[in-house]
Amino acid sequence: MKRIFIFSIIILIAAGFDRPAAQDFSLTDHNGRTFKLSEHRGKVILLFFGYTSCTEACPVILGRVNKVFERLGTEGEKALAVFISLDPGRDTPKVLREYVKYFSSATMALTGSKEEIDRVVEQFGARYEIEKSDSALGYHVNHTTDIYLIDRRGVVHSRFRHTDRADLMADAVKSLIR
Amino acid sequence: MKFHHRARVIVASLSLILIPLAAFARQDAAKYVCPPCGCGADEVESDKTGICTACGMTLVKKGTPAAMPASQGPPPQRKRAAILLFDGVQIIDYTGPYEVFGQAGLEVFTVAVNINQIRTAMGMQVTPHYTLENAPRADVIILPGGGVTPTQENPQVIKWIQEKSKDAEYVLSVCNGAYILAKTGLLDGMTATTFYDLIDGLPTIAPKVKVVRDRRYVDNGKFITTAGISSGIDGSLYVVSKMFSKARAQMVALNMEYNWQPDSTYARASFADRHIRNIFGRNLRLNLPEGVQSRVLSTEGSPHSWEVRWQAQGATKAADILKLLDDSLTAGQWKKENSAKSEAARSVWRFADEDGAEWSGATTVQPTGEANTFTVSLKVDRIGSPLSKSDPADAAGGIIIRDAWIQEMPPSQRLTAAYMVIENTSSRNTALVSARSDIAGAVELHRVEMDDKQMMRMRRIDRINLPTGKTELTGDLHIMLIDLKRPVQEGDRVALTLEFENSVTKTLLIPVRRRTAM
Repeated sequence: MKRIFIFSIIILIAAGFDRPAAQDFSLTDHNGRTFKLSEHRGKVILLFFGYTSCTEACPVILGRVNKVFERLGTEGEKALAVFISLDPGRDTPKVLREYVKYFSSATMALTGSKEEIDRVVEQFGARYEIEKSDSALGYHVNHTTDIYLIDRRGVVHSRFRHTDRADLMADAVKSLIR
Repeated sequence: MKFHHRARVIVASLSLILIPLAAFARQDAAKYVCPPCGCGADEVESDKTGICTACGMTLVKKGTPAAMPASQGPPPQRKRAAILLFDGVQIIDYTGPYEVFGQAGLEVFTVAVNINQIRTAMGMQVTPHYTLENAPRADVIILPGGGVTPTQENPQVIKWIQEKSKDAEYVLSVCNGAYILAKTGLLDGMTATTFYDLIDGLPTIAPKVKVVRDRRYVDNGKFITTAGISSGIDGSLYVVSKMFSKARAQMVALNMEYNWQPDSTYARASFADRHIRNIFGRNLRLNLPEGVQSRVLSTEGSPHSWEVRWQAQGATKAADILKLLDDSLTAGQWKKENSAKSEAARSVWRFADEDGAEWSGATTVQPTGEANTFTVSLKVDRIGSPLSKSDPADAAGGIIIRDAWIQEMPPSQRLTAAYMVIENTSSRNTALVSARSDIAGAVELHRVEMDDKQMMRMRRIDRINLPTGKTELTGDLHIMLIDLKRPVQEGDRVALTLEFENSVTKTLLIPVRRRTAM
């Protein structure tokens, strides 16, 4: 009897994982407007965290995302890239506006208060740390670099590493668009 | 009950197998047809296997997938590609893309100023499908090269391209078709390439276009320019992969039996032979003493190094051939090195390329053993390049730096990073201890690594150790330029001074590049 009980608990947990909840959050976009994830249901979303003063992982990811949208062509209208800044101190909407201009027009850059950002980071299971440094930069933002693929219902479908190739991501986005 | 159910399942599955088999047996007197290829005999049926009398392809059984047209089901709308033709058009510039887009399933047609027969380069005669006035809308517009001058100066053509490209998904120039495209102004602010021997001329007619020599084709989104002649095939395959899928382009390349290498870095215009062509021309003609004949034996190398070998024949002396060779090189702004070890029939040179990078040159004239026959060699090497055999003493403290570049960042960012490979050719350990540049308020050495919590962790470090051999500063280690006085853009060159242990310093002029995504 006890065994059956444990077994059914496992089943219930597994079932819970089978149907992950749709994500939602609200932040401020690079135009200073409110961005609510649930208002973009119906679009496939590539979501990632970073900061504009990053010269390594972040430009790599944004470059890849560009490439993904190039490959998507007109289907790109059914997808969106979301870059969430972990550096509200430096990355104001104005800075973000200039920054995303350089990358794909399908990219939204978001910011918010530290508390708002922390909530979203936790929601996606990402991590970051602000570390004081003797660099002229003053501090570094150490962060995880996964790219989250969110389906049209707002559910996280899978995760890419920042080193994954653009064609791999484009194929996955395409499969969720259709 | 259970048994009944199982029996029913068996009967059902047997019938599933048997019914089609029976149908198949009835059709045993099969007909054979040519796989659809447009040869004109696609509809002809035969009672037995064999080959198509029109095209020679092996016949396939009618009704099988092999006998179906390649595009299964009617495509919603067949895409169209328009190719501009003009007298003097280079044949492969327009036929290469014709083949690729045609095989990819597009409806391809040619357009010219009028319907008169076109005489291509080398005299092939072609009749265009349409004139500028009656050509239908196209999804892809192809501008081949060749004798382009009258076309690039024809306002009617320029206007046609400007108008039609509004509706097109892609506009592709091949070879010096880039000159026609540049004349429309549509390339302004973009990056482009063209035929290797015309790269230096493009900026004159298109000052707002950034011209590069290190790529086989350049993608600006809608506007794609390819290098010369056969590059149009790669450019077209690339457009097919963008328009449809990589798979479609792969299938076209395979069917064309074309060795397609989409990741290849082959760029004809980047080859180091340009320094030799600048002096001796495309045909590599030597200036020789009276009565002496020459022919090219080989011309080969890479972007960093090149060697041309000639055979010279005639009643002369090695020293006389060398003298004339030296005169040509002096006229080409090369500087002769005062080299004591120089043998009688050898001279050593230095020159700078268009970007200010230093090169070494060496000429030798050697008797072959046969009477009045000499082998003449001219070799150039970029100093510090992987293939260079120049004296390591050239390099400060035995340090050679290669593949240095600075990342273009969005213009709002007042910081960037420099990357390079540093080779310590000495047997002693040394270290990079600092760097400085007039363009940046601070230049720092940084290390970034993935920590145990899967976070990318950036740190400032005091030094980068350089043991004997190569140390890569290509990401994990890099040089950070902070507080830039102005944004740096692709095409800029930034002076960066590196300081090594024992006060050895080296100043580099580093090109700024856009990071390419894979």
